[in-house]
Amino acid sequence: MAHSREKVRAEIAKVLGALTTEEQHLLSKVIRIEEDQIHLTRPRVKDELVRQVRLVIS
Amino acid sequence: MKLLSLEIKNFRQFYGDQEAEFASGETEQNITVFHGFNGAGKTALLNAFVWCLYAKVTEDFENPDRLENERAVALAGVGSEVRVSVCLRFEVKGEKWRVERSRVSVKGSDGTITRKSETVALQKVHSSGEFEDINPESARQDRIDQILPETLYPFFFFNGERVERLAREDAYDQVESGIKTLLDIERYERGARHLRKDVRQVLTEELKTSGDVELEQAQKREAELNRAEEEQRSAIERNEANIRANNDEIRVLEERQAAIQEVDQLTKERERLRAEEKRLRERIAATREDLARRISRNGYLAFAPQALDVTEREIDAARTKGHIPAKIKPHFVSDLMTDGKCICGQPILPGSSHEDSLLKWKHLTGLADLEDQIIQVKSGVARLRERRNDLFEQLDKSVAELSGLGTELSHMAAALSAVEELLGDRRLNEDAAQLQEAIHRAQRQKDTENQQLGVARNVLQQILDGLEAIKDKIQKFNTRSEQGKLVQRQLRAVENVAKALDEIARIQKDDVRGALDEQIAEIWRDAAIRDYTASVTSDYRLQLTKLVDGRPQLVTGASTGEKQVLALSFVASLVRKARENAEKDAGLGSTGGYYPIVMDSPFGSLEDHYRAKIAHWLPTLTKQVVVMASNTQWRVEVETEMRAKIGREYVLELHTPKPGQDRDIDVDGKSVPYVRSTKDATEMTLIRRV
Repeated sequence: MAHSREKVRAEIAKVLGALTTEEQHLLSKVIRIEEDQIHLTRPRVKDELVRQVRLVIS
Repeated sequence: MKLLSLEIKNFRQFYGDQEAEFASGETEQNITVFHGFNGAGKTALLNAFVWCLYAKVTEDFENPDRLENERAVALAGVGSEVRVSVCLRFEVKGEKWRVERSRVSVKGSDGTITRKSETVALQKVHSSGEFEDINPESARQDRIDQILPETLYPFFFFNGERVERLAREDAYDQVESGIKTLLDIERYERGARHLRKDVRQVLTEELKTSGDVELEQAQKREAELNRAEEEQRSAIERNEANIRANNDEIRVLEERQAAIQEVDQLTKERERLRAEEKRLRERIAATREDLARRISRNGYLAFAPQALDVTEREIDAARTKGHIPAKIKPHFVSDLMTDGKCICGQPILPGSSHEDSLLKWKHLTGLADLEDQIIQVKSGVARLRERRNDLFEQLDKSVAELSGLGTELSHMAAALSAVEELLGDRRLNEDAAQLQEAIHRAQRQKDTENQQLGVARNVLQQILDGLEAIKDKIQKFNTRSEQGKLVQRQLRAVENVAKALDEIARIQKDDVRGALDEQIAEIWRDAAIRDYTASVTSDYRLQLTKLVDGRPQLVTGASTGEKQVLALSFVASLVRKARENAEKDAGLGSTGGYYPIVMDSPFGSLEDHYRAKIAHWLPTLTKQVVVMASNTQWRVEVETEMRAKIGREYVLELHTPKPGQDRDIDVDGKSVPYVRSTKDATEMTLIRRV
């Protein structure tokens, strides 16, 4: 199983490596928003995502 | 999530205030067991968890609206309030929580009760011991759902006797959704969806303000295609769901048909023919693939003869003209010129006839390199001719094989059709014939859905191609304003991040499916009596297969006990995977988590062998196990496996008004009251720690 997690880590690292630094930053923000605000209503999630896109890619 | 304690007040069998603490799960003694006689409140205890967290009860809980304890109602005066409450304390990621759900009802003059209010309180318990209320009340349920999503509770709070529903074919939606939620895969999929739909829409609207007409038109087209894509995806989902439903219906109908004795041989023959048909289709697919590979590698040779002929003619012509082979080697002439002496011993003087001759020879020796190349080409041409001949031989062989397999397949289809026709013959058996008619109907519906699915997938591909092109076009636009350029950059980033999230979700799903497959197979191998193999399919179906003629075939008639073992293996594997993910993240922050398993009657109808195996496996896979079991369910095998791992042990002491019912049970060598006859007019249960 540990081997499997290493494989996943390597595959994810490859996906992240194909992104720019800004995009990587945005991706982690998106994951955090989706994780923390899982049950918020959709407009609020949308607003927060748009805010982060504008903040990170400026 | 670590369960700490449960406090119950007047909830079903439990009169007054009752409390239990759970084994912490930090040591090997991670089991909490509640022993209870039939009707003592084992199922009520399970439902106390579920009601407290979600204001719901499990399907098998009778009279779900009447939660109030009979004795509490009997003792209350007319017009008085009866309060029911359940308070659960738990810990998540180091934070302690307390959730308490209460229901207040009023007793009427006829003894009935009317619900007055129901509330839930949620508090975070700080290390100082202070309680922090989560407000407003409307946010509390959301917060609970965030800690342990409601969709997940059937995986952690369940009746062991009914758990086999997870192993049913039609449970895959629930299984997939549970896997995705529990292991946090959902957040990637949701993130990609929100970025593509919501965020993109906002940014695209903003880009329109840059005022470029051509750009605006392209964006309009993109929006149309986006809508079309969504519609097409919905249509595909509907088709796929209908096909799954058709498959389930056909499977159920065929199982019913297979149970009819008179057509037993026919249904078995149908299974055999289908397996054979499947094998033939696989061989045809493999042969076609092989053929395609050969054509892709050597297909050009079919058109090569002219080029090969010309090459050979050129080489022959060069030979005829004496250009090749070169008569002498170049280094030989060079050596003579350097030495200044001919092979006949005469000196080679500048301007002499000897030097002229040697210079002519030297010119001819320049062709020697070419000669080597030509020799190689010549042998290459011969090899290519051989390969061409081999290719044609192989093509002939493959085509003949395909033709043979095709004939065999059509014979098989005819035989299958004949068997199905016989199954539909009312003279053989009326019930089987009716079922056959229904199977045909479902099959026809499935065929129609399949056709529509094929069309929808093609249309979707066209839409996606169009979208790709229009997105490229939009990205290449040179907007006039700086703001426009910035928004374009943001749009590109949004698309790239959405794609990355899709890919991460795929990687995680593959990992989880693989890990679950491995784990379930391992538990099953150890536990099962029969030589079946347990696995999780790519679309999250739990399945059992057996080898027939060396090939795996789906087991359709697994027993309830086997399905229970399969489902329990799945739940345990899922909890273990969540735990592993929590302990070792994959580079994107912690996912998964610790979850307890709370089971009512976990070993109900299982054979002793399976009871022992499950009792052995469970505590090793999850940190906390809570078990409610009757004395019969707990007996010998389970007791032997679990005794050393018990951290907390309780008896649900049932008090009954019926005289002469006193019973004790033996708990770890001690005799403990199990049932007590009392003078009270109503039944009730007390939770006693052993």
